[in-house]
Amino acid sequence: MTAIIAARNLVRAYRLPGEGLLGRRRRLVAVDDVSLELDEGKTLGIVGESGSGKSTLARLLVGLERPDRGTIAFDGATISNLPERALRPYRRAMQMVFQDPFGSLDPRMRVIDSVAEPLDIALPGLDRDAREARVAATLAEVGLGTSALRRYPHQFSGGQRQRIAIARALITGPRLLVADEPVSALDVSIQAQILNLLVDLKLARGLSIIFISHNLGVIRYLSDHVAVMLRGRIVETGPTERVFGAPEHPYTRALIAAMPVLER
Amino acid sequence: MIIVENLSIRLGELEIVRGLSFTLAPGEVLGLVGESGSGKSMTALAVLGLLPPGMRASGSIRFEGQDLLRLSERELRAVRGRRIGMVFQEPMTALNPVMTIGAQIAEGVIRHGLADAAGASKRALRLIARVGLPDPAARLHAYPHELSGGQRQRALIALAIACRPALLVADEPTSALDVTVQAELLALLREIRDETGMAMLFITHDLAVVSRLADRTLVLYGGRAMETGATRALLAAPRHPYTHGLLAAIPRGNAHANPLRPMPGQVPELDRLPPGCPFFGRCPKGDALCRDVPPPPVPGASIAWCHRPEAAP
Ligand SMILES: Nc1ncnc2c1ncn2[C@@H]1O[C@H](COP(=O)(O)OP(=O)(O)OP(=O)(O)O)[C@@H](O)[C@H]1O
Ligand SMILES: Nc1ncnc2c1ncn2[C@@H]1O[C@H](COP(=O)(O)OP(=O)(O)OP(=O)(O)O)[C@@H](O)[C@H]1O
Ligand SMILES: [Mg+2]
Ligand SMILES: [Mg+2]
Repeated sequence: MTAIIAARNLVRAYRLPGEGLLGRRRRLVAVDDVSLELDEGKTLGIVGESGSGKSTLARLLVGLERPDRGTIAFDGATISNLPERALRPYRRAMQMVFQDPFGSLDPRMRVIDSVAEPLDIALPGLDRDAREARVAATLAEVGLGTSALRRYPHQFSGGQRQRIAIARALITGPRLLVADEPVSALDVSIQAQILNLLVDLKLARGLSIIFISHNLGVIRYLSDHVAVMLRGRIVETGPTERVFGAPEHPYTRALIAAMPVLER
Repeated sequence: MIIVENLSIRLGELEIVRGLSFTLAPGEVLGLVGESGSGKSMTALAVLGLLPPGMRASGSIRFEGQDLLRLSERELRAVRGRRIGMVFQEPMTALNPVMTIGAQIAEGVIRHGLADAAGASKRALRLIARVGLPDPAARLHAYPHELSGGQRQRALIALAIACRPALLVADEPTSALDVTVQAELLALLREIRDETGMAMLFITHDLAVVSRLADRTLVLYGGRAMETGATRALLAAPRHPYTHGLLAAIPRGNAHANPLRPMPGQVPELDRLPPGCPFFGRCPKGDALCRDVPPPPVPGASIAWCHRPEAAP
Protein backbone atom coordinates (compact mmCIF):
# COMPACT_ATOMS: atom_id res chain seq x y z
CA MET A 1 0.00 0.00 0.00
CA THR A 2 1.45 3.37 -0.94
CA ALA A 3 1.16 6.17 1.54
CA ILE A 4 -1.22 8.97 0.64
CA ILE A 5 1.46 11.41 1.65
CA ALA A 6 5.12 10.78 2.35
CA ALA A 7 7.68 13.42 3.27
CA ARG A 8 11.41 12.76 3.23
CA ASN A 9 14.00 14.84 5.02
CA LEU A 10 12.16 18.15 4.81
CA VAL A 11 14.08 21.27 5.76
CA ARG A 12 12.73 24.82 5.88
CA ALA A 13 14.64 27.77 7.35
CA TYR A 14 13.64 31.39 7.98
CA ARG A 15 15.74 34.40 8.76
CA LEU A 16 15.43 35.52 12.35
CA PRO A 17 14.33 39.13 12.65
CA GLY A 18 17.30 41.40 13.33
CA GLU A 19 18.35 45.00 13.53
CA GLY A 20 18.73 45.44 9.78
CA LEU A 21 21.98 46.45 8.09
CA LEU A 22 24.61 45.73 10.70
CA GLY A 23 22.95 43.14 12.90
CA ARG A 24 23.42 40.11 10.67
CA ARG A 25 20.25 38.08 10.52
CA ARG A 26 20.67 34.57 11.84
CA ARG A 27 18.82 31.65 10.33
CA LEU A 28 16.21 29.70 12.17
CA VAL A 29 15.62 26.17 10.99
CA ALA A 30 11.86 25.88 11.53
CA VAL A 31 11.58 22.36 10.07
CA ASP A 32 14.73 20.34 10.44
CA ASP A 33 15.02 17.05 8.60
CA VAL A 34 11.47 15.83 9.06
CA SER A 35 10.20 12.63 7.48
CA LEU A 36 6.72 11.21 7.86
CA GLU A 37 4.27 8.93 6.14
CA LEU A 38 0.52 8.57 6.30
CA ASP A 39 -1.49 5.62 4.98
CA GLU A 40 -4.78 6.33 3.26
CA GLY A 41 -7.71 6.52 5.66
CA LYS A 42 -5.52 7.03 8.70
CA THR A 43 -5.07 9.95 11.03
CA LEU A 44 -1.73 11.31 12.16
CA GLY A 45 -1.80 13.63 15.16
CA ILE A 46 1.01 16.14 15.51
CA VAL A 47 1.70 17.71 18.89
CA GLY A 48 4.66 19.69 20.04
CA GLU A 49 6.22 22.74 21.48
CA SER A 50 4.85 26.09 20.46
CA GLY A 51 7.15 27.30 17.68
CA SER A 52 8.45 23.81 16.94
CA GLY A 53 7.52 24.00 13.25
CA LYS A 54 4.11 22.29 13.11
CA SER A 55 2.38 24.99 11.05
CA THR A 56 5.42 25.32 8.81
CA LEU A 57 5.38 21.56 8.22
CA ALA A 58 1.67 21.73 7.40
CA ARG A 59 2.22 24.48 4.83
CA LEU A 60 5.04 22.46 3.26
CA LEU A 61 2.90 19.32 3.02
CA VAL A 62 0.07 21.02 1.14
CA GLY A 63 2.48 22.92 -1.10
CA LEU A 64 1.84 26.44 0.20
CA GLU A 65 5.52 26.78 0.99
CA ARG A 66 8.44 25.05 -0.68
CA PRO A 67 10.97 23.08 1.31
CA ASP A 68 14.62 24.17 1.11
CA ARG A 69 15.48 20.50 0.97
CA GLY A 70 13.65 17.18 0.95
CA THR A 71 10.79 15.71 -1.04
CA ILE A 72 7.05 15.24 -0.69
CA ALA A 73 5.11 12.54 -2.51
CA PHE A 74 1.32 12.40 -2.80
CA ASP A 75 -0.07 9.00 -3.69
CA GLY A 76 3.39 7.93 -4.79
CA ALA A 77 4.05 10.91 -7.09
CA THR A 78 6.64 13.47 -6.13
CA ILE A 79 4.99 16.89 -5.90
CA SER A 80 7.54 19.02 -4.09
CA ASN A 81 9.32 19.97 -7.33
CA LEU A 82 6.23 20.57 -9.47
CA PRO A 83 5.57 24.04 -10.87
CA GLU A 84 2.51 25.83 -9.51
CA ARG A 85 0.30 24.87 -12.49
CA ALA A 86 1.02 21.18 -12.19
CA LEU A 87 0.26 21.34 -8.49
CA ARG A 88 -3.35 22.42 -9.03
CA PRO A 89 -5.03 18.99 -9.21
CA TYR A 90 -3.28 18.06 -5.98
CA ARG A 91 -4.52 21.22 -4.29
CA ARG A 92 -8.04 19.92 -4.75
CA ALA A 93 -7.21 16.58 -3.19
CA MET A 94 -5.46 18.17 -0.22
CA GLN A 95 -7.24 20.79 1.83
CA MET A 96 -5.94 22.73 4.76
CA VAL A 97 -7.60 24.36 7.77
CA PHE A 98 -5.41 27.19 9.00
CA GLN A 99 -4.57 27.95 12.59
CA ASP A 100 -5.91 31.51 12.39
CA PRO A 101 -9.43 31.23 10.92
CA PHE A 102 -9.83 34.97 10.60
CA GLY A 103 -6.68 35.36 8.58
CA SER A 104 -7.74 32.59 6.22
CA LEU A 105 -11.21 33.88 5.37
CA ASP A 106 -11.51 36.81 2.98
CA PRO A 107 -13.28 39.55 5.00
CA ARG A 108 -14.99 40.95 1.89
CA MET A 109 -16.52 37.65 0.82
CA ARG A 110 -19.84 36.36 2.08
CA VAL A 111 -19.66 33.01 3.81
CA ILE A 112 -21.42 31.25 0.94
CA ASP A 113 -18.73 32.39 -1.49
CA SER A 114 -15.82 31.67 0.84
CA VAL A 115 -17.03 28.16 1.50
CA ALA A 116 -17.91 27.57 -2.16
CA GLU A 117 -14.59 28.85 -3.49
CA PRO A 118 -12.82 25.46 -3.64
CA LEU A 119 -16.00 24.02 -5.16
CA ASP A 120 -16.13 26.74 -7.85
CA ILE A 121 -12.61 25.77 -8.88
CA ALA A 122 -13.33 22.04 -8.83
CA LEU A 123 -16.78 22.17 -10.50
CA PRO A 124 -17.04 25.48 -12.34
CA GLY A 125 -20.27 24.49 -14.10
CA LEU A 126 -22.34 23.87 -10.98
CA ASP A 127 -25.67 25.73 -11.07
CA ARG A 128 -26.52 28.26 -8.38
CA ASP A 129 -29.11 26.25 -6.49
CA ALA A 130 -26.97 23.14 -6.37
CA ARG A 131 -24.00 25.21 -5.25
CA GLU A 132 -25.98 26.84 -2.47
CA ALA A 133 -27.46 23.51 -1.37
CA ARG A 134 -24.01 22.00 -1.18
CA VAL A 135 -22.67 24.90 0.91
CA ALA A 136 -25.69 24.77 3.23
CA ALA A 137 -25.30 21.02 3.72
CA THR A 138 -21.62 21.36 4.55
CA LEU A 139 -22.29 24.20 6.98
CA ALA A 140 -24.98 22.10 8.64
CA GLU A 141 -22.41 19.36 9.21
CA VAL A 142 -20.33 21.79 11.24
CA GLY A 143 -23.36 23.06 13.13
CA LEU A 144 -24.13 26.30 11.31
CA GLY A 145 -27.56 27.26 9.96
CA THR A 146 -28.55 28.80 6.64
CA SER A 147 -28.63 32.33 8.06
CA ALA A 148 -24.83 32.13 7.94
CA LEU A 149 -24.79 32.04 4.14
CA ARG A 150 -25.14 35.75 3.39
CA ARG A 151 -23.14 37.09 6.32
CA TYR A 152 -19.50 38.20 6.42
CA PRO A 153 -16.76 36.59 8.53
CA HIS A 154 -16.55 39.46 11.04
CA GLN A 155 -20.18 38.85 11.99
CA PHE A 156 -19.33 35.52 13.57
CA SER A 157 -17.83 34.40 16.84
CA GLY A 158 -14.34 32.85 16.89
CA GLY A 159 -15.64 29.30 17.01
CA GLN A 160 -18.19 29.96 14.27
CA ARG A 161 -15.42 31.25 12.01
CA GLN A 162 -13.34 28.21 12.77
CA ARG A 163 -16.24 26.03 11.66
CA ILE A 164 -16.65 28.04 8.45
CA ALA A 165 -12.98 27.34 7.71
CA ILE A 166 -13.56 23.62 8.32
CA ALA A 167 -16.59 23.61 6.01
CA ARG A 168 -14.51 25.27 3.30
CA ALA A 169 -11.87 22.57 3.59
CA LEU A 170 -14.37 19.70 3.49
CA ILE A 171 -16.73 20.88 0.75
CA THR A 172 -14.88 19.32 -2.19
CA GLY A 173 -14.47 15.99 -0.44
CA PRO A 174 -10.66 16.06 -0.28
CA ARG A 175 -8.66 12.87 0.15
CA LEU A 176 -6.26 14.47 2.61
CA LEU A 177 -7.15 17.06 5.24
CA VAL A 178 -4.35 18.94 6.96
CA ALA A 179 -5.93 20.69 9.92
CA ASP A 180 -3.93 23.10 12.06
CA GLU A 181 -5.57 23.58 15.46
CA PRO A 182 -9.03 23.25 13.93
CA VAL A 183 -10.95 22.86 17.18
CA SER A 184 -9.01 25.10 19.56
CA ALA A 185 -11.74 27.78 19.59
CA LEU A 186 -14.67 25.41 20.04
CA ASP A 187 -16.56 24.57 23.17
CA VAL A 188 -16.31 20.91 24.06
CA SER A 189 -19.79 20.06 22.82
CA ILE A 190 -19.25 21.45 19.32
CA GLN A 191 -15.73 20.08 19.40
CA ALA A 192 -17.24 16.64 19.98
CA GLN A 193 -19.53 17.14 17.01
CA ILE A 194 -16.61 18.08 14.72
CA LEU A 195 -14.45 15.22 15.97
CA ASN A 196 -17.27 12.78 15.26
CA LEU A 197 -17.73 14.30 11.81
CA LEU A 198 -14.04 13.68 11.07
CA VAL A 199 -14.25 10.12 12.38
CA ASP A 200 -17.31 9.54 10.15
CA LEU A 201 -15.55 10.94 7.07
CA LYS A 202 -12.57 8.78 7.81
CA LEU A 203 -14.63 5.61 8.14
CA ALA A 204 -17.13 6.32 5.35
CA ARG A 205 -14.95 8.01 2.75
CA GLY A 206 -11.46 6.99 3.75
CA LEU A 207 -10.45 10.59 4.48
CA SER A 208 -6.82 10.81 5.58
CA ILE A 209 -6.10 13.42 8.22
CA ILE A 210 -3.08 15.23 9.58
CA PHE A 211 -4.31 16.87 12.73
CA ILE A 212 -2.22 19.42 14.61
CA SER A 213 -3.30 20.29 18.13
CA HIS A 214 -2.08 21.24 21.55
CA ASN A 215 -5.00 19.43 23.07
CA LEU A 216 -3.62 16.01 23.92
CA GLY A 217 -7.06 14.66 24.78
CA VAL A 218 -8.26 15.52 21.27
CA ILE A 219 -5.13 14.06 19.66
CA ARG A 220 -5.55 10.85 21.57
CA TYR A 221 -9.20 10.64 20.64
CA LEU A 222 -8.71 11.06 16.92
CA SER A 223 -5.27 9.76 15.96
CA ASP A 224 -4.03 6.36 14.85
CA HIS A 225 -0.44 7.57 15.06
CA VAL A 226 1.14 10.48 16.87
CA ALA A 227 4.25 12.51 16.08
CA VAL A 228 5.80 14.78 18.68
CA MET A 229 7.77 17.83 17.51
CA LEU A 230 10.43 19.77 19.33
CA ARG A 231 12.58 22.50 17.81
CA GLY A 232 11.90 21.58 14.21
CA ARG A 233 12.30 17.83 14.58
CA ILE A 234 10.05 14.87 15.17
CA VAL A 235 11.44 13.49 18.40
CA GLU A 236 9.00 10.65 18.87
CA THR A 237 6.42 8.87 16.77
CA GLY A 238 4.33 5.75 17.17
CA PRO A 239 0.85 4.31 17.56
CA THR A 240 -1.27 6.59 19.72
CA GLU A 241 -1.81 4.29 22.66
CA ARG A 242 1.88 3.40 22.78
CA VAL A 243 2.95 7.06 22.80
CA PHE A 244 0.44 7.97 25.51
CA GLY A 245 0.88 4.78 27.49
CA ALA A 246 4.66 4.47 27.35
CA PRO A 247 6.19 7.74 26.12
CA GLU A 248 9.88 7.39 25.36
CA HIS A 249 11.22 10.88 24.78
CA PRO A 250 11.60 13.14 27.82
CA TYR A 251 9.72 15.93 26.03
CA THR A 252 6.74 13.65 25.36
CA ARG A 253 6.78 12.71 29.02
CA ALA A 254 6.88 16.38 30.03
CA LEU A 255 3.92 17.11 27.75
CA ILE A 256 1.84 14.30 29.15
CA ALA A 257 2.73 15.33 32.68
CA ALA A 258 1.66 18.92 31.95
CA MET A 259 -1.71 17.89 30.48
CA PRO A 260 -4.22 19.99 32.36
CA VAL A 261 -6.58 17.76 34.30
CA LEU A 262 -9.98 18.72 35.49
CA GLU A 263 -9.78 19.28 39.22
CA ARG A 264 -13.01 18.81 41.06
CA MET B 1 -14.03 46.30 41.86
CA ILE B 2 -16.09 45.52 38.81
CA ILE B 3 -19.82 45.10 39.11
CA VAL B 4 -21.74 44.17 35.99
CA GLU B 5 -25.49 44.46 36.35
CA ASN B 6 -28.15 43.35 33.98
CA LEU B 7 -25.91 43.62 30.93
CA SER B 8 -27.75 43.15 27.66
CA ILE B 9 -26.27 43.50 24.20
CA ARG B 10 -28.50 44.01 21.19
CA LEU B 11 -27.93 44.15 17.49
CA GLY B 12 -31.14 45.58 16.11
CA GLU B 13 -33.84 43.06 17.00
CA LEU B 14 -31.36 40.40 18.02
CA GLU B 15 -30.55 40.00 21.67
CA ILE B 16 -27.00 38.69 21.73
CA VAL B 17 -26.63 38.83 25.50
CA ARG B 18 -29.50 39.14 27.96
CA GLY B 19 -29.45 40.24 31.58
CA LEU B 20 -25.98 39.14 32.68
CA SER B 21 -24.75 40.12 36.13
CA PHE B 22 -21.42 39.31 37.73
CA THR B 23 -18.83 40.86 40.01
CA LEU B 24 -15.09 40.59 40.46
CA ALA B 25 -13.10 41.49 43.55
CA PRO B 26 -9.41 42.43 43.37
CA GLY B 27 -7.29 39.32 42.81
CA GLU B 28 -10.32 37.27 41.86
CA VAL B 29 -10.62 35.18 38.69
CA LEU B 30 -13.98 34.60 37.02
CA GLY B 31 -14.06 31.91 34.34
CA LEU B 32 -16.52 32.53 31.52
CA VAL B 33 -17.39 29.36 29.59
CA GLY B 34 -20.13 28.27 27.25
CA GLU B 35 -21.35 27.41 23.81
CA SER B 36 -19.57 28.80 20.77
CA GLY B 37 -21.52 31.94 19.83
CA SER B 38 -23.08 32.33 23.29
CA GLY B 39 -21.83 35.90 23.74
CA LYS B 40 -18.60 35.50 25.72
CA SER B 41 -16.46 37.67 23.46
CA MET B 42 -19.19 40.30 23.12
CA THR B 43 -19.45 40.47 26.92
CA ALA B 44 -15.69 41.05 27.09
CA LEU B 45 -15.86 43.67 24.36
CA ALA B 46 -18.70 45.44 26.16
CA VAL B 47 -16.51 45.76 29.27
CA LEU B 48 -13.83 47.33 27.09
CA GLY B 49 -16.23 49.59 25.21
CA LEU B 50 -15.23 47.93 21.97
CA LEU B 51 -18.47 46.40 20.71
CA PRO B 52 -18.72 46.16 16.92
CA PRO B 53 -20.66 48.89 15.16
CA GLY B 54 -24.42 48.56 15.54
CA MET B 55 -24.30 46.66 18.83
CA ARG B 56 -25.71 48.41 21.88
CA ALA B 57 -25.10 47.51 25.49
CA SER B 58 -27.52 48.35 28.29
CA GLY B 59 -27.37 47.82 32.04
CA SER B 60 -24.31 48.97 33.93
CA ILE B 61 -20.63 48.05 34.26
CA ARG B 62 -19.23 49.77 37.34
CA PHE B 63 -15.44 49.86 37.51
CA GLU B 64 -13.38 52.00 39.90
CA GLY B 65 -16.35 54.23 40.62
CA GLN B 66 -17.43 54.84 37.02
CA ASP B 67 -20.05 53.26 34.79
CA LEU B 68 -18.05 52.15 31.76
CA LEU B 69 -21.17 52.11 29.62
CA ARG B 70 -21.58 55.85 30.18
CA LEU B 71 -18.00 56.95 29.43
CA SER B 72 -17.05 58.83 26.29
CA GLU B 73 -14.62 57.24 23.86
CA ARG B 74 -11.90 59.57 25.16
CA GLU B 75 -12.50 58.61 28.78
CA LEU B 76 -12.56 54.95 27.81
CA ARG B 77 -9.22 55.24 26.10
CA ALA B 78 -7.60 56.25 29.39
CA VAL B 79 -8.98 53.10 31.04
CA ARG B 80 -8.44 50.62 28.23
CA GLY B 81 -4.92 49.21 28.04
CA ARG B 82 -4.08 50.99 31.31
CA ARG B 83 -6.50 50.00 34.10
CA ILE B 84 -8.01 47.19 32.05
CA GLY B 85 -5.68 45.00 30.00
CA MET B 86 -7.02 42.81 27.24
CA VAL B 87 -6.06 39.70 25.35
CA PHE B 88 -8.23 39.19 22.29
CA GLN B 89 -9.33 35.86 20.92
CA GLU B 90 -7.52 36.24 17.61
CA PRO B 91 -3.96 37.44 18.04
CA MET B 92 -3.49 38.23 14.35
CA THR B 93 -6.33 40.74 14.32
CA ALA B 94 -5.32 42.31 17.63
CA LEU B 95 -1.69 42.91 16.71
CA ASN B 96 -0.61 45.63 14.33
CA PRO B 97 0.89 43.80 11.34
CA VAL B 98 3.28 46.60 10.38
CA MET B 99 4.78 47.25 13.81
CA THR B 100 7.32 45.08 15.59
CA ILE B 101 6.23 43.33 18.77
CA GLY B 102 8.62 45.40 20.89
CA ALA B 103 7.39 48.70 19.47
CA GLN B 104 3.77 47.75 20.12
CA ILE B 105 4.42 46.97 23.77
CA ALA B 106 6.53 50.09 24.27
CA GLU B 107 3.97 52.30 22.57
CA GLY B 108 1.25 51.61 25.16
CA VAL B 109 3.63 52.11 28.06
CA ILE B 110 4.71 55.49 26.65
CA ARG B 111 1.18 56.60 25.73
CA HIS B 112 -0.04 56.01 29.27
CA GLY B 113 2.94 57.97 30.61
CA LEU B 114 4.48 55.06 32.53
CA ALA B 115 8.00 55.35 31.09
CA ASP B 116 10.08 57.20 28.53
CA ALA B 117 11.16 55.60 25.26
CA ALA B 118 14.27 53.94 26.71
CA GLY B 119 12.44 52.70 29.80
CA ALA B 120 9.55 51.42 27.71
CA SER B 121 11.70 49.36 25.40
CA LYS B 122 13.53 47.89 28.38
CA ARG B 123 10.17 46.98 29.86
CA ALA B 124 9.13 45.43 26.53
CA LEU B 125 12.22 43.24 26.46
CA ARG B 126 11.65 42.12 30.05
CA LEU B 127 8.02 41.26 29.34
CA ILE B 128 8.83 39.33 26.18
CA ALA B 129 11.27 37.26 28.19
CA ARG B 130 8.76 36.83 30.99
CA VAL B 131 6.05 35.36 28.77
CA GLY B 132 8.65 32.87 27.58
CA LEU B 133 9.33 33.89 23.99
CA PRO B 134 12.59 32.24 23.00
CA ASP B 135 15.43 34.58 22.00
CA PRO B 136 13.65 37.71 23.32
CA ALA B 137 16.22 40.21 22.03
CA ALA B 138 15.58 39.04 18.46
CA ARG B 139 11.80 38.66 18.95
CA LEU B 140 11.58 42.29 20.10
CA HIS B 141 12.17 43.15 16.43
CA ALA B 142 9.86 40.51 14.98
CA TYR B 143 6.69 41.40 13.11
CA PRO B 144 3.57 39.42 14.04
CA HIS B 145 3.69 37.28 10.88
CA GLU B 146 7.18 36.13 11.82
CA LEU B 147 5.91 34.45 14.96
CA SER B 148 4.18 31.11 15.40
CA GLY B 149 0.57 31.10 16.62
CA GLY B 150 1.54 30.47 20.22
CA GLN B 151 4.32 33.04 20.12
CA ARG B 152 1.83 35.66 18.95
CA GLN B 153 -0.49 34.79 21.76
CA ARG B 154 2.34 35.21 24.25
CA ALA B 155 3.25 38.57 22.72
CA LEU B 156 -0.35 39.62 23.19
CA ILE B 157 -0.26 38.64 26.85
CA ALA B 158 2.93 40.68 27.30
CA LEU B 159 1.13 43.62 25.71
CA ALA B 160 -1.88 43.18 27.98
CA ILE B 161 0.05 43.18 31.24
CA ALA B 162 2.59 45.85 30.24
CA CYS B 163 0.76 48.63 32.12
CA ARG B 164 0.00 46.51 35.21
CA PRO B 165 -3.78 46.68 34.83
CA ALA B 166 -6.20 46.23 37.72
CA LEU B 167 -8.36 43.97 35.57
CA LEU B 168 -7.30 41.63 32.80
CA VAL B 169 -9.95 40.63 30.28
CA ALA B 170 -8.56 37.57 28.53
CA ASP B 171 -10.40 35.81 25.70
CA GLU B 172 -8.97 32.33 25.08
CA PRO B 173 -5.48 33.52 25.99
CA THR B 174 -3.88 30.09 26.19
CA SER B 175 -5.70 27.93 23.66
CA ALA B 176 -2.92 28.16 21.04
CA LEU B 177 -0.18 27.12 23.43
CA ASP B 178 1.38 23.77 24.09
CA VAL B 179 0.53 22.45 27.51
CA THR B 180 3.93 23.13 29.07
CA VAL B 181 3.93 26.77 27.91
CA GLN B 182 0.29 27.00 28.94
CA ALA B 183 1.13 25.83 32.45
CA GLU B 184 3.95 28.40 32.64
CA LEU B 185 1.71 31.22 31.49
CA LEU B 186 -1.05 30.32 33.91
CA ALA B 187 1.56 30.32 36.68
CA LEU B 188 2.77 33.73 35.46
CA LEU B 189 -0.76 35.16 35.51
CA ARG B 190 -1.30 33.82 39.02
CA GLU B 191 2.02 35.34 40.07
CA ILE B 192 1.02 38.75 38.72
CA ARG B 193 -2.34 38.43 40.39
CA ASP B 194 -0.62 37.73 43.72
CA GLU B 195 1.85 40.62 43.24
CA THR B 196 -0.57 43.27 42.06
CA GLY B 197 -4.06 42.09 42.98
CA MET B 198 -5.02 42.01 39.30
CA ALA B 199 -8.49 40.53 38.77
CA MET B 200 -9.24 38.45 35.69
CA LEU B 201 -12.23 37.80 33.48
CA PHE B 202 -10.99 34.64 31.82
CA ILE B 203 -12.78 33.19 28.80
CA THR B 204 -11.91 29.66 27.79
CA HIS B 205 -13.32 26.42 26.45
CA ASP B 206 -10.85 24.41 28.44
CA LEU B 207 -12.66 23.30 31.56
CA ALA B 208 -9.45 21.89 32.99
CA VAL B 209 -7.89 25.37 32.80
CA VAL B 210 -10.99 26.84 34.43
CA SER B 211 -10.78 24.30 37.21
CA ARG B 212 -7.22 25.32 37.99
CA LEU B 213 -7.45 29.09 37.63
CA ALA B 214 -10.94 30.41 38.22
CA ASP B 215 -12.31 31.05 41.69
CA ARG B 216 -15.79 31.31 40.27
CA THR B 217 -17.30 30.28 36.96
CA LEU B 218 -20.16 31.58 34.85
CA VAL B 219 -21.67 29.31 32.19
CA LEU B 220 -23.41 30.92 29.19
CA TYR B 221 -25.71 29.51 26.54
CA GLY B 222 -27.60 31.48 23.91
CA GLY B 223 -26.52 34.76 25.47
CA ARG B 224 -27.89 33.96 28.90
CA ALA B 225 -26.48 32.77 32.20
CA MET B 226 -27.11 29.07 32.80
CA GLU B 227 -25.18 28.52 35.99
CA THR B 228 -22.70 30.32 38.21
CA GLY B 229 -20.89 29.56 41.43
CA ALA B 230 -17.62 28.57 43.04
CA THR B 231 -15.70 26.67 40.35
CA ARG B 232 -15.03 23.58 42.42
CA ALA B 233 -18.63 23.16 43.47
CA LEU B 234 -19.96 23.85 40.00
CA LEU B 235 -17.70 21.32 38.29
CA ALA B 236 -18.03 18.70 41.01
CA ALA B 237 -21.81 18.76 40.99
CA PRO B 238 -23.20 20.75 38.07
CA ARG B 239 -26.86 21.60 38.60
CA HIS B 240 -27.70 22.75 35.09
CA PRO B 241 -28.19 20.08 32.40
CA TYR B 242 -26.12 22.19 29.99
CA THR B 243 -23.13 22.22 32.36
CA HIS B 244 -23.59 18.46 32.65
CA GLY B 245 -23.54 18.08 28.90
CA LEU B 246 -20.34 20.10 28.64
CA LEU B 247 -18.52 17.94 31.14
CA ALA B 248 -19.71 14.80 29.36
CA ALA B 249 -18.36 16.03 26.01
CA ILE B 250 -14.70 16.13 27.05
CA PRO B 251 -12.86 13.43 25.08
CA ARG B 252 -11.54 10.55 27.12
CA GLY B 253 -9.40 7.90 25.47
CA ASN B 254 -9.67 6.95 21.80
CA ALA B 255 -12.62 7.15 19.39
CA HIS B 256 -12.70 3.37 18.95
CA ALA B 257 -12.91 2.68 22.65
CA ASN B 258 -14.78 5.70 23.99
CA PRO B 259 -16.91 7.34 21.27
CA LEU B 260 -18.07 10.83 22.20
CA ARG B 261 -21.71 11.63 22.49
CA PRO B 262 -22.16 15.35 21.80
CA MET B 263 -25.32 17.02 23.01
CA PRO B 264 -28.21 16.18 20.73
CA GLY B 265 -29.45 18.77 18.25
CA GLN B 266 -27.97 22.00 17.00
CA VAL B 267 -27.54 25.36 18.62
CA PRO B 268 -30.60 27.29 17.47
CA GLU B 269 -30.09 30.60 15.73
CA LEU B 270 -30.45 33.56 18.06
CA ASP B 271 -33.67 34.74 16.44
CA ARG B 272 -35.26 31.30 16.82
CA LEU B 273 -34.77 30.77 20.53
CA PRO B 274 -37.85 29.64 22.43
CA PRO B 275 -39.42 32.23 24.75
CA GLY B 276 -38.37 30.20 27.82
CA CYS B 277 -34.99 28.59 28.41
CA PRO B 278 -32.59 28.87 25.43
CA PHE B 279 -31.41 25.30 26.06
CA PHE B 280 -34.93 23.94 25.55
CA GLY B 281 -35.00 21.54 22.62
CA ARG B 282 -31.61 20.07 23.41
CA CYS B 283 -32.15 19.56 27.10
CA PRO B 284 -32.97 16.00 28.20
CA LYS B 285 -35.25 17.41 30.91
CA GLY B 286 -37.00 20.14 28.95
CA ASP B 287 -40.81 20.36 29.14
CA ALA B 288 -43.55 22.86 28.30
CA LEU B 289 -42.68 25.09 31.25
CA CYS B 290 -39.06 25.27 30.06
CA ARG B 291 -40.21 26.14 26.56
CA ASP B 292 -42.53 28.95 27.60
CA VAL B 293 -41.17 30.54 30.76
CA PRO B 294 -37.65 31.89 31.30
CA PRO B 295 -36.24 30.02 34.29
CA PRO B 296 -35.50 32.03 37.45
CA PRO B 297 -32.15 31.72 39.23
CA VAL B 298 -32.40 28.83 41.65
CA PRO B 299 -29.93 29.11 44.52
CA GLY B 300 -28.10 26.09 45.91
CA ALA B 301 -24.47 24.95 45.89
CA SER B 302 -24.37 27.05 42.72
CA ILE B 303 -27.00 29.26 41.13
CA ALA B 304 -28.74 27.58 38.20
CA TRP B 305 -31.20 29.24 35.85
CA CYS B 306 -33.24 26.10 35.45
CA HIS B 307 -36.75 24.85 36.15
CA ARG B 308 -35.43 21.34 36.74
CA PRO B 309 -32.02 21.71 38.39
CA GLU B 310 -30.16 18.75 39.82
CA ALA B 311 -30.68 18.49 43.54
CA ALA B 312 -27.60 18.92 45.68
CA PRO B 313 -25.86 15.55 46.12
N1 LIG C 1 7.59 33.94 8.14
C1 LIG C 1 8.44 33.70 9.14
N2 LIG C 1 9.56 34.41 9.30
C2 LIG C 1 10.42 34.16 10.30
N3 LIG C 1 10.25 33.19 11.22
C3 LIG C 1 9.15 32.43 11.12
C4 LIG C 1 8.17 32.64 10.08
N4 LIG C 1 7.17 31.74 10.24
C5 LIG C 1 7.51 31.01 11.33
N5 LIG C 1 8.68 31.42 11.85
C6 LIG C 1 9.37 30.83 13.01
O1 LIG C 1 9.50 29.45 12.74
C7 LIG C 1 9.31 28.69 13.93
C8 LIG C 1 8.23 27.64 13.68
O2 LIG C 1 6.97 28.30 13.53
P1 LIG C 1 5.61 27.48 13.34
O3 LIG C 1 4.55 28.50 13.11
O4 LIG C 1 5.80 26.43 12.32
O5 LIG C 1 5.47 26.83 14.78
P2 LIG C 1 4.27 25.95 15.40
O6 LIG C 1 4.85 24.66 15.83
O7 LIG C 1 3.13 25.93 14.47
O8 LIG C 1 3.93 26.79 16.70
P3 LIG C 1 2.51 27.08 17.44
O9 LIG C 1 2.19 25.86 18.21
O10 LIG C 1 2.85 28.22 18.35
O11 LIG C 1 1.50 27.43 16.39
C9 LIG C 1 8.97 29.69 15.03
O12 LIG C 1 10.10 29.91 15.83
C10 LIG C 1 8.57 30.95 14.29
O13 LIG C 1 8.93 32.10 15.03
N1 LIG D 1 -20.11 41.94 14.26
C1 LIG D 1 -21.15 41.12 14.45
N2 LIG D 1 -22.31 41.29 13.79
C2 LIG D 1 -23.36 40.47 13.98
N3 LIG D 1 -23.35 39.42 14.82
C3 LIG D 1 -22.24 39.18 15.49
C4 LIG D 1 -21.07 40.00 15.35
N4 LIG D 1 -20.12 39.51 16.15
C5 LIG D 1 -20.64 38.43 16.77
N5 LIG D 1 -21.92 38.23 16.37
C6 LIG D 1 -22.83 37.18 16.85
O1 LIG D 1 -23.00 37.35 18.24
C7 LIG D 1 -23.11 36.11 18.92
C8 LIG D 1 -22.13 36.10 20.08
O2 LIG D 1 -20.80 36.15 19.57
P1 LIG D 1 -19.51 36.04 20.52
O3 LIG D 1 -18.35 36.36 19.65
O4 LIG D 1 -19.70 36.83 21.75
O5 LIG D 1 -19.53 34.47 20.88
P2 LIG D 1 -18.53 33.66 21.81
O6 LIG D 1 -19.30 33.17 22.97
O7 LIG D 1 -17.31 34.46 22.07
O8 LIG D 1 -18.21 32.41 20.88
P3 LIG D 1 -16.84 31.61 20.59
O9 LIG D 1 -16.68 30.68 21.72
O10 LIG D 1 -17.14 30.89 19.31
O11 LIG D 1 -15.74 32.62 20.45
C9 LIG D 1 -22.83 35.05 17.86
O12 LIG D 1 -24.05 34.45 17.50
C10 LIG D 1 -22.25 35.81 16.68
O13 LIG D 1 -22.63 35.22 15.46
MG1 LIG E 1 1.23 26.77 14.57
MG1 LIG F 1 -15.37 34.31 21.36
